[in-house]
Amino acid sequence: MLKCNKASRLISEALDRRLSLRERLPLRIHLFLCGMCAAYRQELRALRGLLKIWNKKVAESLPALPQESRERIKTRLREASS
Amino acid sequence: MDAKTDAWVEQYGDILYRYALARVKNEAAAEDLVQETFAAALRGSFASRSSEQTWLIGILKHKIVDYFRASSRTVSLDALLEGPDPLEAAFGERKEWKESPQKWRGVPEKGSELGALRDVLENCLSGLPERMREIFLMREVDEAETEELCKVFSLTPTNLWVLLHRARFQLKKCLEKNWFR
Repeated sequence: MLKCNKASRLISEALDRRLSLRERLPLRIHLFLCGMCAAYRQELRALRGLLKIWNKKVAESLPALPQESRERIKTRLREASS
Repeated sequence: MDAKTDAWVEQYGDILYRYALARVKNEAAAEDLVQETFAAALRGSFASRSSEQTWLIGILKHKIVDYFRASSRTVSLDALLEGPDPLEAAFGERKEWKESPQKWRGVPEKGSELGALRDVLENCLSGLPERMREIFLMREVDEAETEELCKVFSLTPTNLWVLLHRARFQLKKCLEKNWFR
């Protein structure tokens, strides 16, 4: 029987790798029966979503590539391809 | 060839620069990363499965992982994996949660909905050990895969996953303390 400590680890790892069938089935059953672990999964998924929109927001509020840098990059790329 | 290069810089320079700057927080480094991205793109070939922009950002993400590998090479990750496991401590003798996780309500789905949560999240992130935070953000934001992160930072997959789980757990607790609930 899968307990919450192992389930919580699998919940996190599912965000980083594909769980095997032997891992997925007991976890799914556990999540069906355990509201706490189901909530934990929601929290970790919400956290992932939050980080993505946060990064996008941070990037949007930053200045554009300065003109000087833009020209520098173009020059360097031209030099490299010549 | 030059016209194409210039056009690329004009079209994608800003978006690549902003992404890089958001991640490395250093203007000179961000500029270098943008340039290296274009240089690599010119050497490579565009697989037409995704958009040009997605492809370029993909190259940039790999460059960002390289950047973090090169910086602070001396910091050992062992320390982050040693010591009492905060995750073990969250469970009682019967391996059940000591404190019940609660589903988060009102989670923003767009940048415009973030509001003050942005500051809270940034504070919570800064509470993570630096190396842990870097690897965690590479996973979550840059979507670096296990194989790449393990290779670049000399971690076993298991250790990487433990690291990521600890980061998630710590952030979750911080966000609950300062925002959710």
